[in-house]
Amino acid sequence: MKKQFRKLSYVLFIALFVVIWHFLSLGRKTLIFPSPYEVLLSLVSIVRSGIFIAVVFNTLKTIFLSFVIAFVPALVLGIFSKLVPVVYIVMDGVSAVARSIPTVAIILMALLLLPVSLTPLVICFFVVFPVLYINIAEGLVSVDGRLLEMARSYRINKRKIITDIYIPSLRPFLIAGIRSAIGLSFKIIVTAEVFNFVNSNTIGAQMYMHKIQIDLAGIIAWTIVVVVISLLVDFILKKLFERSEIQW
Amino acid sequence: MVKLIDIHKQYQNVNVLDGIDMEFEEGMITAILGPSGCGKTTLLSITAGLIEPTRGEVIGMELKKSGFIFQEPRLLPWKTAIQNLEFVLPDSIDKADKKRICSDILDQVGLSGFEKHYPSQLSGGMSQRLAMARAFIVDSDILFMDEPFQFLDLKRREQMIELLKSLWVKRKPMVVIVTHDVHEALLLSDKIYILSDKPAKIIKEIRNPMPFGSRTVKNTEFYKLEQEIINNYLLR
Repeated sequence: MKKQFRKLSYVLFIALFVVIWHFLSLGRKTLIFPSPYEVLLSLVSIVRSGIFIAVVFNTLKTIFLSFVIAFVPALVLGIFSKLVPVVYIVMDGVSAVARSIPTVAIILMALLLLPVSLTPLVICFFVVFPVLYINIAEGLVSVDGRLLEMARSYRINKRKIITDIYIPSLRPFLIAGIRSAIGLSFKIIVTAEVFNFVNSNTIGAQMYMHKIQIDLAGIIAWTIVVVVISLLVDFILKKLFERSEIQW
Repeated sequence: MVKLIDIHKQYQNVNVLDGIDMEFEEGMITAILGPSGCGKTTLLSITAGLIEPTRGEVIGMELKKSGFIFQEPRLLPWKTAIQNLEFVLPDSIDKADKKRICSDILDQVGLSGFEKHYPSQLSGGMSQRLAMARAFIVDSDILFMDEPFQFLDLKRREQMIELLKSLWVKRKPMVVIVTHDVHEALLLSDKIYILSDKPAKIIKEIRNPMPFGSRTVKNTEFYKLEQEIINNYLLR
């Protein structure tokens, strides 16, 4: 009942939004402000175009590749932070600085310093790595010392302490980190692709081309595509985690 | 036998333990009785090898298998009751045997039917019974107990003491129990060390004159002994 009510609320909200948008577009004074119907037409033409699958695939490939590139060092450094306190202190400062650097500054620097094809990956790494690292490091630091003491008192071996105490304690932090990192990757990668003209078969490059043509309907249509894919990926991740989740 | 020789412990220049000598004998329950905050838990942790003394040594613990019952149950929240028990069992025991051993002890502590329950689904008393089952399942040579009944009401505490006695009597492992409760110390232990306030020293060593089987509140000697300990040593 509660779930159905929530679904109904979402549908009503979207319907209300579209109706308001429709009426606003009726009184438009500029040519570029599209109606919901025009956006729908644009969306259909984008999805039907021969390049749609390739474009989405390219962007998704960069997102997952950059996630993996950020995840591995975040995990390694997170573990080192637990083992060597100096690493935790240093990385705390590094990640705080990394988080406060404006994304656009990273984008511009990467465009000037690196091969263009690498920029989305590098930019995403700088934005996503601190998020993943902090979640992993905090998760490891917050492992309940009383449980570790209990394990020591029973002389439990290290392998079992890692698999049965550390990993389950880290799990909620890891899930939260992965979900927010993936969500963030979508935003960053698409932004970086707007600046990356080498490969036009990406979502960001497609948005840029619609911008050159002053086609706001096309930009909104691609935005809808990004939001839907992002929500879908998050939904899949949520289900995957729920499936292996233990009821505690 | 496990011996503590001249144990000292300092935390940031504060003396917590001041030259403690104790002996824990095989097949005996020893209580360490003292006021709150006197350093009883520190002494227990030193004996169990969880922390190092500033000075002094613990002899006889090297090859001993130990179990621990803490003030709180300290169960793994992501594991079921039976998995919490399996966690402390050696990997050398095969799966079927582990299951049988765990089911047996769960039955003994009255938790049959709760094998697949998570700690969050158990009451405080049930969780503490599970923690007690975990301590006894490992066939430990020495069992450490740190005020394990502190958060239980009177009725449940009495039930837990009886349960502990029934589990202990089967193998009679060496037990060291820390408590501030004379009642508990007298009902359980063969020997009682009474500690002073911080820095803790031994004020008195008492042998419980009541035999194990007749250590109950119904024993006429019980209240006489309780009053004697309270008046002569704890309220001194």
